[in-house]
Amino acid sequence: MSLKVAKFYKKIAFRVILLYTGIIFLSFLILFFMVYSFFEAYLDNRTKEQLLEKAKSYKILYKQEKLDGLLKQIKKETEILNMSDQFFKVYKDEKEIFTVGEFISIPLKEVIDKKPDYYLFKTINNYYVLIYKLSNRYTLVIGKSTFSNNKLLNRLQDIFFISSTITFFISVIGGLFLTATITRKLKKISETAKDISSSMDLNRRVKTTGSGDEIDDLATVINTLLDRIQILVNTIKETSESIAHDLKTPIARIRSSIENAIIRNNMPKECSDLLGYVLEETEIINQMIADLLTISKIESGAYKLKSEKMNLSESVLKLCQLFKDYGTSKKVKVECDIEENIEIEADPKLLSRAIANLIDNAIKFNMENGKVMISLKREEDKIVIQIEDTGLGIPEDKIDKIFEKFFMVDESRSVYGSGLGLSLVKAVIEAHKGQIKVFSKEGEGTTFKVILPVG
Amino acid sequence: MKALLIEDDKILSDQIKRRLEDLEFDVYQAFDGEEAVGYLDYDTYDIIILDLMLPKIHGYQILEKIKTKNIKTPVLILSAKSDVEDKVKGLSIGADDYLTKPFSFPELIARINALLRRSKKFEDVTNLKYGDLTIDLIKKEVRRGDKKIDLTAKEFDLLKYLVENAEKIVTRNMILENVFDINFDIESNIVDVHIHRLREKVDKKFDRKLIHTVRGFGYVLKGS
Ligand SMILES: Nc1ncnc2c1ncn2[C@@H]1O[C@H](COP(=O)(O)OP(=O)(O)O)[C@@H](O)[C@H]1O
Ligand SMILES: [Mg+2]
Repeated sequence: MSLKVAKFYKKIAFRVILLYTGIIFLSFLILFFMVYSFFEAYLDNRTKEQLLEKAKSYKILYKQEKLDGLLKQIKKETEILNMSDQFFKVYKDEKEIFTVGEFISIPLKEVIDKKPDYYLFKTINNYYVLIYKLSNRYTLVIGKSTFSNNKLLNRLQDIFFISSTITFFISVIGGLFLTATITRKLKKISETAKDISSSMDLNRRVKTTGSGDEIDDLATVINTLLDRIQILVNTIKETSESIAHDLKTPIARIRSSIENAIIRNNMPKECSDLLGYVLEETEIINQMIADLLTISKIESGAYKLKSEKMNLSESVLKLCQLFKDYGTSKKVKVECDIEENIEIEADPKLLSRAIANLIDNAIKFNMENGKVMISLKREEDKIVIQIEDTGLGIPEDKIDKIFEKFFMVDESRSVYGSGLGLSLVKAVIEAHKGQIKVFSKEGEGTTFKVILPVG
Repeated sequence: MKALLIEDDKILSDQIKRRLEDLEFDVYQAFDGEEAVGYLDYDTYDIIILDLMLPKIHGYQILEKIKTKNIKTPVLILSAKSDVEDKVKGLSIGADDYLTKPFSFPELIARINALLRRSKKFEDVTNLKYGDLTIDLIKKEVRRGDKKIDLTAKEFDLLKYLVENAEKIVTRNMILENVFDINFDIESNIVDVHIHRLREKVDKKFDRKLIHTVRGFGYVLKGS
């Protein structure tokens, strides 16, 4: 189960807002470019027309009053109007004979052999420049600074920049508002669902608003699902209770009858040994039923796990010592490396039993002069129990199956055991929100790693 | 000694009765809750054995009745449920011990004996003796005749437990619980391995064997 809090960039609200502002921003940008280029072209044209108009009126003046008249007129105009953003030049052939304003050199090569009234626009050093042939020999040049046009365009940019910032914030706020209503509802549902799955309190339900929207549908579907799960879990609980009762009483009868037969009647040893054998097998059946029930109850959540503070270090140490002697008799060395004072909230009996199972396997499936290393460590917010052996190992193609009920790699390997041990281990570890990993190489050994959360 | 046996399963009840009669108990059988209440009003007993799942009146209610009547008799619960909750509940209402079905007679007897012993006073024991076997509990020394036997701490505890229960059968579960302090099911033949090692030291070099396997039950320490 991984019911972590979603990362912020994975949250729906964030994504919706991103999309929403993205689209608005993009349309805004396109609009800006369209307006800007329209204005740019418009201003460009207007300036050029103005320049041409002026040039044409000068041409008329030139025709009527000759060059002197024209020059006088230009001088007069510039003096009166103080046109600092303009300049005027008149060329005779390629020689500059008159200048007012900026001293910019103008290349005349292109127009020198053109006919009168020919004109040409150029942009030189931030000036719109109109080159106009007055006659075959004289050329008039008028320049107008692009400054005022640019000022206008800059202003336009500023306006767009400011209004786009405002739009951005408005769209974020709008997006937040839009998603908040949706995510609030979803959050409520997921929080309740999380609570239910972690507490296993199957009586609770997600709240439905009756609004009939998709989210309300979702809540209803989850509730239906919970209904079914509850029925299922209750059935498991009930049937396992009745299986327990229905099977255990007859087993108890068999057992007490045989026991009485053996104890009360002075029968020959052969006879009592045979009956003893029946008794042993009965006990195996009994244990298997009990284990199966325990596993299925834990897996279904019908088993109410205890949550007690337990000193895991002490429990593992106890198991280590227990199995050390046992190992010695089987010529298997058991080594322990246990960090002190590791505490955990857990079901002490079940957890100890699971660990004991792993250690038992490590000794059982070992070889003469083999080793078993048991370690318990705390790693940040995790507790790691590792049981490593130098035993028979598990074939690669069987490794996925070892946690299945009744699975044994080799029936003849195991002198005792039913193949339920690891299923129980897995169920117990997972019920404690932990993980179990296995690494193994046939003929070299096996490592089981149990990772438990501290809480 | 009088025992009240409240168990609805006739066959099981009869078997338990027989076994208890061997041990000189007068056994009164009640097969449902009402009958049990009748017996409780009628007489007092040295021990009450109570099955929880009963027809008519549930075992818990009988337990409560026993406590409200201020009957001091120890109560041993039998139940098919192995849930810890049940056990905890039973003990909290006032049962003195709890045994899960199916159980083995040696276990039942051991628990009954333990409950009966509880009321009696303990003498300070410093020495245990069985045949030529002596255990000095203070020096932690074991001898057979005048031969000293070296045991590990666990082997010592195991032998002590066997001698304490001499001539009574002890099961693997009883050993796990009382010697190794393991009170959960364990998938291992630890007990057999320890017994085997103990035999090597205590019995191997002697003609008279003391530790015997009783198939289907467990082990017993006895002279022959
Ligand atoms: N440490 C180990 N080394 C080698 N094989 C193992 C180990 N642990 C488990 N196995 C294999 O996995 C199977 C299942 O284990 P388990 O469920 O404990 O059953 P059992 O112990 O009753 O055989 C075992 O029969 C064995 O083949
Ligand atoms: Mg196993």
